[in-house]
Amino acid sequence: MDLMLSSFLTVVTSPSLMGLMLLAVPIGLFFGAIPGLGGKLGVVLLIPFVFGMEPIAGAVFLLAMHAVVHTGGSIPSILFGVPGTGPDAATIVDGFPMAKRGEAGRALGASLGASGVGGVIGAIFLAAMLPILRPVVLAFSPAEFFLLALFGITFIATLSGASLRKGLLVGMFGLMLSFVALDPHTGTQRYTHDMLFLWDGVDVITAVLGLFAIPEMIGLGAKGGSIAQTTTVARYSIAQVLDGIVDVFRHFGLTLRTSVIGAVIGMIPGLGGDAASWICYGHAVQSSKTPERFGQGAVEGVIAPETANNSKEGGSLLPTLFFGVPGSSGMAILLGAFIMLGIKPGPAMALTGMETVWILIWTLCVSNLLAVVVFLAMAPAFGMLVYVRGALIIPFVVTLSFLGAFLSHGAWENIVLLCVLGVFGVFLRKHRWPRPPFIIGLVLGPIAEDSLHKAMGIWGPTFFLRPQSLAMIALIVGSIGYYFWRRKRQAAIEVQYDV
Amino acid sequence: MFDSRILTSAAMLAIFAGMSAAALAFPPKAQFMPLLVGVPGTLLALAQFVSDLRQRPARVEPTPEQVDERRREIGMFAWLSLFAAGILGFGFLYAAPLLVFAFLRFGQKESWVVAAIGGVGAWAILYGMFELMLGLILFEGLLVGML
Repeated sequence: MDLMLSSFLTVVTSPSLMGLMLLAVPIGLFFGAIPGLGGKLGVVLLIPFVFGMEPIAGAVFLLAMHAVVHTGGSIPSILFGVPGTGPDAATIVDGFPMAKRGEAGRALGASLGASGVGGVIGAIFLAAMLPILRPVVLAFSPAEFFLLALFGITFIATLSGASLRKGLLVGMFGLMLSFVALDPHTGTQRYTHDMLFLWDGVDVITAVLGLFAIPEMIGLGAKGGSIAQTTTVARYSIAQVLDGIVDVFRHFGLTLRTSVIGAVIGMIPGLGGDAASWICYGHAVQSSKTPERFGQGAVEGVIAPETANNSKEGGSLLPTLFFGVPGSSGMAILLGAFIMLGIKPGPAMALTGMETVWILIWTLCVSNLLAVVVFLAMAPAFGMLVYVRGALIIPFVVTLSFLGAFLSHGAWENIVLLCVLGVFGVFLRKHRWPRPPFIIGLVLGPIAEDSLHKAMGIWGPTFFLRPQSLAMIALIVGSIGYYFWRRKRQAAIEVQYDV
Repeated sequence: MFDSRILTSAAMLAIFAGMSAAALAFPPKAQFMPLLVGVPGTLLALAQFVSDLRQRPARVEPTPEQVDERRREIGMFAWLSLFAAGILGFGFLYAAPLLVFAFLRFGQKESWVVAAIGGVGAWAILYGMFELMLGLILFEGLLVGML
């Protein structure tokens, strides 16, 4: 309790932390509101700015930005029918019809209120889970950590595209790249070819920038035109926006339920925002007395996905901070940034890093509330987003990408690596190879290898016959089985439609 | 001949096979994980490559929009190469503002004013924010460093 209160005071009484959050929130809203940018790119592009910052200050800045990305992502979904980020696609189903019938402000207000409340409930969920999670984390042995890493890669591979094989291959490619370094057990150079900059491994920030930022910018440049690809924008008033915020409290039961569902989904590595928003949208339809209104502009259809989008951030911080297993690809990048800042996520966090955990929880709460204020202040300007052209963004994003790659290790060779991975990423993007499993593989590689060696040392090759390990193996098999069941069901539905 | 879809899976296969083969030269403890991931990865990549080879789509004439998009994509690759060469040769402070200006003016046909604002803005961010405010030392470029 003391730690909780002292961390709260640390956050709200520190002018520098509050200032950083005030700076991070509009940046996060901007990255969310511009289709094609998103939170992952936002974090990697902001990393150069946190070099030299105190670890906590840097972590607060990046988390505050990342936490409100989906709040901004609802703006183009509602105003232009173009999702700002993937998980905001569910908001279009009812948000865009509301805008078309003259209720854009109400839809924006509902999304804003839902995002704010969802984000705060997600943080409360994270706080409530701490007493339960601490003994669980400490009971995990190296064998479970190895299998948890495998589970994370498998699960995200099964969920990130139509082809499980491609997802697994990209995840394994990330794992292979994580072996490029001095072997921690023998000191042997692995794939480094006497290049000093590779001795500590492939830099996560450079790899992420290469596989995400560069392909997105090449894609944006190839597409041409304005990012939103529309010239019309719905009009709205602040009174409408406030009415929408009140709607969230008129449907508070739904807000509460979808916030908790979102936080629980966020906790499961790999499920991510798309699953959270669509599952919660489905819940809103199923629990409604008038489901026929959905798809025509029902405000509950905006509230449900938006609460889930933001509350999942609290849930996904759990595995990220305590197991070092990122809950989503965005969290994988954030995890890399935390490590770069000197914060070491993992089981030790439950013993020595609780103050950091509490500061991050309060950051989630405060940044989500700040987002409401900033959103209201900026609301009249959102229509301008329609005029944002890719041409004006591309050179700056590329410059920041090159800068981030260089600054992460102070090695110019990383710029070359960035370009090589960038070109490879363009082809992966073009031919629909899912890229999120790559980050999970790259981040989890060292954990998986270290845990495997420890488990083999303690129990020998039969380590996976322990009951906890068998449970983890069942989860891995279950996730693959779920993928095939889902594919079979989809195929059956397609056949039905053909008939 | 090969299309880029097949080349992508071929590149993936080459990466896995090459890294697995290279791992054989490591001591047993160091080669364990690379082989544990690399061997099944090679087999999966081979399956993907064969599958892509067998499912080659029929050749169709690209639409004018697709031709335009491909032309712009090649232009983006050229600009990225130029940008990398510029930064590696002349560093961030000299190359980045000039290349941002050149991209906006000549690549995207923006007005001189917009392009100039872009170039000056890039310099202001790099020098003002990163060097002066954050005190970071930016890469000066290999050629500039030699002078």
